[in-house]
Formats: sequence, structure tokens, C-alpha cells
Amino acid sequence: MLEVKGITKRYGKTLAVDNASFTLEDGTITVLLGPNGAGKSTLMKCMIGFLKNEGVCLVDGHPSKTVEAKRLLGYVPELPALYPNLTAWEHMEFLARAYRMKDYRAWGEELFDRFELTDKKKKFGDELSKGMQQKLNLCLGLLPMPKAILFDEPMIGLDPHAIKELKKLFEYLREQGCIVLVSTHMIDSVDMLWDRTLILQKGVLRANVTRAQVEESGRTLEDLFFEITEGEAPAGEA
Amino acid sequence: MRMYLYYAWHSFLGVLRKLFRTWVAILIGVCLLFGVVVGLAAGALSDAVPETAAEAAEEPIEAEAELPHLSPEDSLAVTELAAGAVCLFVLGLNVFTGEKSGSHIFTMADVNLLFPAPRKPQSVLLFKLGTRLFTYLLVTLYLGFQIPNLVNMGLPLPLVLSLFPAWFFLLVFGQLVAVLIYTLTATHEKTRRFVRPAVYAVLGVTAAAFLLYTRSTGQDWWTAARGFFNAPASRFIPVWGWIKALPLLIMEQKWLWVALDGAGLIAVTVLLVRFIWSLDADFYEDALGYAEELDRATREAQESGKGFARLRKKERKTRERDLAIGGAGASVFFRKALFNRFRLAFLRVFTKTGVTNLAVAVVFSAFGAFAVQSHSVYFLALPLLVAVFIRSFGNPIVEDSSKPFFLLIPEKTAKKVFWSHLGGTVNTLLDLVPAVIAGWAILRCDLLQALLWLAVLVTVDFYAASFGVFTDFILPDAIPQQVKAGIQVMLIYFSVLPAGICLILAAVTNKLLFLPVGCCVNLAIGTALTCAAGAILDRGKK
Repeated sequence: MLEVKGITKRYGKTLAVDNASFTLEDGTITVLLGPNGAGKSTLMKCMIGFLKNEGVCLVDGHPSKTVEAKRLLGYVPELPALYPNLTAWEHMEFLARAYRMKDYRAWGEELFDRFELTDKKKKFGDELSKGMQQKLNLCLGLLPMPKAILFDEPMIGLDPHAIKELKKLFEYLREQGCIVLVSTHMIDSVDMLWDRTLILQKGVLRANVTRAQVEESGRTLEDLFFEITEGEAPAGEA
Repeated sequence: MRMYLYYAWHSFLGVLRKLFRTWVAILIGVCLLFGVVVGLAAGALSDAVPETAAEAAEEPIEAEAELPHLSPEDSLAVTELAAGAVCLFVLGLNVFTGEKSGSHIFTMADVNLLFPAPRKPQSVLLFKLGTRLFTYLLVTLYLGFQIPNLVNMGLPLPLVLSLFPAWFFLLVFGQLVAVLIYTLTATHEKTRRFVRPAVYAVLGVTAAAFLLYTRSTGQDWWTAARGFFNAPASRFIPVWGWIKALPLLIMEQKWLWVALDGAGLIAVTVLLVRFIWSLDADFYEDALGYAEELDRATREAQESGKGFARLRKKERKTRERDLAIGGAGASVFFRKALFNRFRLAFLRVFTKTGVTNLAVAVVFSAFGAFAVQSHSVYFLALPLLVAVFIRSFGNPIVEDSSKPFFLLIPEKTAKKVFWSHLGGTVNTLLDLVPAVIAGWAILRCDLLQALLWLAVLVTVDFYAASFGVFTDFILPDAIPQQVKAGIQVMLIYFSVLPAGICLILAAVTNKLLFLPVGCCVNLAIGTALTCAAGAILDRGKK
């Protein structure tokens, strides 16, 4: 279980995230929606432990900044950043060592197959195209198979095949009991997948709803998003 | 540890693979070949010496007579003083820059891959600083080339060799001090304000104690420095004293003390690592900010096709918006350089570089005029030469060449490189004029000599900057800056020879004609390198 309790992040006088609290259950996919500048990336960085903030994020009861929590929590950043002097496969080996993994080769090679990176194994990080870098970025995030994984805009720059594979992986992770949190602008791309939606606006968590709640109301996720971000929020959803 | 070694080894191989795909390998090969040829020629000449020895003996060799001959005691004392100064400088610098050294070494790849990994933040920091240490050690291998020079200066070979372990310990301690300072200041931000005053305080107390010692003993500076900084008790000062003592103890063959010294250094290293490990560190946010900024700048530079990332200081002030840039075609880059100067410089004249040059000129000229009571122009020229040479190194036109429109503007690339470059050189001239005038007024040296040296300084800047641009363009972006610097230093050793010979001839023969000749050589090499850089930009960098 992943619990976010009262996360607040200020940059000087700017309130980037204001007292966000929610709980994500095992084996669920949650989408984090919000307009540009809503604080989605900041919230994720607070959750992963990159930023100093008020409040806490607990992974199976461990605060996210602890080594114990980091064994359980994964993160795929929005922009891929690779070491220019390591090849694609060397990145996987390096990360496996960072996580002290032993049996990673088969899973790593499967990820490379899924994202069509096998023939790019020996390419240096700075020799890959942007799309390929993003695919490798996903492989690196998925390699440790964490219990909870945060994806920050994971579909940007991916080709249709990679998007299809990523969606399959989301479902696979859910079946394995993982907690998946996906921040995205592309509502359509996650419409069939999500179990819970969080909508963030100006740093405030405006909605925390399950699929059943949305379907019962007779609205689509897109309707809900625009109602909240461009109109009045329905009472009781946040 | 396995992760660190994996990264270090594979990155090293990656750099080599990339480097040897470019024609830098050929350039290095040519330099090495040149070294072999010069070595063989020198050997052949020395073989020929006995035949002409009788003739040579009749004529006193002025230059040789001026070479310093150190007694064994003097060479040991000089080594101990130099070692102590270097130790103090390196350790002080690491404390001084420690608060930033951590955040400035992380890339976004570290943030994305290592920050979420189940490792303590100190472990990640030690990994990065360890990698940097490895690079430093690799780059400083070229210090091996200095062994013959040091031996020729009169230092015994065992002493020269023993400098290497001392240097290794110094680098290790420097990095550990940087880790400690960064971990403390980034986690507890209130401690940040005490770091630099503490360095100033230590330096101030040391200087005051030395002055007091000199006055109380009535000794001259040299004797006082030996007595104060080389006092036997100073070797017992932890870390600083131990490191500087190591080569001397090896030289004196006091093996028990060598073992104790080494054991002490290792013990302090272990204690320091354990202490850093025990700290409750949280510097990811601090490091993330800089890494994101660097990543953004790097992407912009890469998307424009050329240039390395350079971060602009946020607090940079903008003044005098009413000035016009002017120029047309390629010359806009020249006009922009001057526009920025006149907009940003204090009183439109004094830039920070200009003030630094002025300070260097005033201090050294005053030393020459009042302490040594000499009117030699070299008290002004040589310090400025060093200052100009160091400052102009690197790629001064990267700000222009990294912009996409640099290549798009319909002019010859070499022309754009030239104008952009010329802007920097004219700025250097303007930065040097007040310094040379002040130095000349203090020293009261020959005006013509001062003017000729001003020309030399400006052309040296042009040459060094051209060299920086050229080497930056031929070296792959992905190789570490330290490796780049190492290769640049190696290449410059060879390319600086022609102009260097002219300047040495001017100094030795006292014939001013060699100065304009040196200027011409600098200009010729600089222009050739500028044209070559333009051609490389046209072709597209690998």
C-alpha cells in the first residue's frame, strides 16, 4: 500500500503542492491528471523522495526516503537522461548493480524485446534517438520490478507499438499486485486502464475517484477532468 | 562497489571508443611522434657534444649560468614548502567550493537512475566524487612527463617518485572534504554561511602567525618561510602535515615514520568515511535543481548541433537597454560581444576580468618596483601572460556557436567564427589596457616594451582561444571535461612551441624584434585554427 499524507511543497512563496493526501491499494492503476503547472511532477518528486517537503509518503509503512522504501518504489521520469558513455545494455547492467539484482538478464532482455531495443544494445546513450531514449528510460524503470512505480508522462515520444507494449505492461504490473501511478495529459491513452483517478489543479488535489464512482455518475473521465479544471468541481469528490 | 567499478570501467572504455573514432587519435599520435623525434634529435645532439666540447668550454654559456642550482638541503626545503602550499591550496579549495561541489557533479542520469535506487545519498555522492577522482588520477598521469624535468631541476629521483603517493592522498582527502562539506551544508542549510568565513579565518590566522614569526625572528622571507612552514613540528599536523611529510620521509628513508604516516592517513580516511556515512543526509533537492538546469542547457546545446552546456547566472543584471547592437552579417557577433561589454561593464569599462588584470598588474609591478627595485617589464608582462593564457582557455565562442541560428545565418562559417572570436579578443585588449598602463606607470619601464608586450598578450589570447575553440570542436561532447582539459594541455605543449621560442629569444637576447615575430606566429596559428574550426562546424561535429 502506498500512502500519501499531507504532502505540501513550497518554492519560496509559491505553493506547488498543497496538503495532498491519498492512498493507493496494491494491484491498482491510478492516473494523475492535471493541467500544465498543476504540480503533478512536483508531487511525484516529493513521493519518490527527491524533494524536501512537509508530509510523508509511505510505501508499505516505510517513509519514501528510506532505503527500505526505495527497494519497493520505482520511478520513470518524464524526460529520459542517460549516461553518454554507457551503452543501452550497460545501463541495464549498471542499474541492476545499483539495485543489487542478480537474476535480471532474462527480464531485461524481455523488456528490450518488447520495446524493440535488442538491436540497439550496443548504442551509447547519446547515440539513441529521443524515442529510443524514452523506451530505454522505461526499461530502466521497470527492471527492478518495484512494488509501486510512478510514471511521469511515460508516453511522450513513444511510437504506437511502444505505447501498446507499455499499456500491456501496466496491466501485467497490476496482475502482479503492483501499484501503478501514471501522470499523463493523454486522457484517451489511459481511459481503458485506470482504476482510480487523481486530479490536481494549482497544487490542490481536486478529485480522488474510482472508476466505479465515475461510471455511476454517467460521465467519462474527460468530462470529469474538464468539469473540475474548467468549471465547478462536483461536491464531495476531492 | 561493483556498481562503481562497473561504471568507471565501462565509461572509460566508452570514452576511449568515442575518442578513437575521431581524428583526435591521429593528432595525439602526431604529437607523440613529434616527441620521439625531438627526443632522438636531442640524443643525437648530446652525442655530438664531446666533439665540440673544447670549443664550447671557451665560451661561457650565459643561459646555463642562469639556471638555478639547488643544494640537496635547498631542494628538500623547496619541495616541502611547495608540497605544503599545494596541500593547503587543494584542501582549502575543496572546503571553499564544497557547498557546491556536490550539486554540480550530478547529471540528470544520476538523478533518474541513482536517486531512486535503494542506496544512501552519501553512497551516491561518494560514487560520483569517486568517479571524478578516478578521472583526475587518469588525467594526472601526464604528470609522469614531468619526472625528467623535476630530476633535471636537481630533485632526487626517489623524491620525485614519492610525490605521486602524496598527490594520491591529497586528491582522496580533497574529495572526502568536499563530500563532508556538501553533505553538511545541503542537509543543514544554516551551516552554509560559516564555511567560507572559516576558510578565510584559517588563512588569516596562518598569515598573521607567519608575519608575527618573521618580525619576531628578524629573518628574511625565505629563511622565515623555511623556519615557519617547514618546522619539524609541522609534520605532525594531521592530514596537511602528514601528506606534505610523506615524500620527505621517503626521501630520508625513515621507513618507520613512512609506515606511521601512511597508517595515519589511511586511518583518518576510514574515520572520515564512517563519519560521512553516519550523517543524516538529504541533498537530493539541492542536486536536482542544478541537474535539471544543466540538462536543459545540454539539450539546447545538443539540439543546436554544437557546443557544451553553459549555465547562465540567474542574478545577471541587465543594464543600458537603450544601446544598439549594430553590425551586419557575420559581424553581428563581433558587435554583440562589444555591446554586451559596454552594457554590463562597470562604468562601461571595467569588467571582472579587467579588474583582475588590473589587480595582477598593480601587485606584481609594485613588487618589482618597490621590493626588488627593478624596472623590468617582465614583472608586468609575465603575470599578465599567465592570467591571459588561463582565462582564454576553453571555448569562448560557445555562447554563439551553440545557437541554432549561428549555422543558419547565410555567411561563411569561418567568417562567423572569426568575428565571434574577434569580439572576445577586442574585449581582452580593452581588459588589458588599464592593467598595462597602471603597470607601466608603477614600474616606469620602457614604453615601447610595454606596448609590444600588450600586443603579445592580445595575440596570445587570440591564439589560446582559437586553440580552445578548435580542440573543443574536434573532441566529442561526451568525454569528461577533465579528460578534455588533459588532452588540451598535451596538445598545447606542442603547439605553443614556435611562439614560446620567440618570446624566450626576446627575453634571452633582449632583442625586441622577437616580440612582433611572436605576435605574428600567434596570429598565424590562431587564424589557421579558426579556419579549421569553421570547416569542422560546416562538416558537423562527430
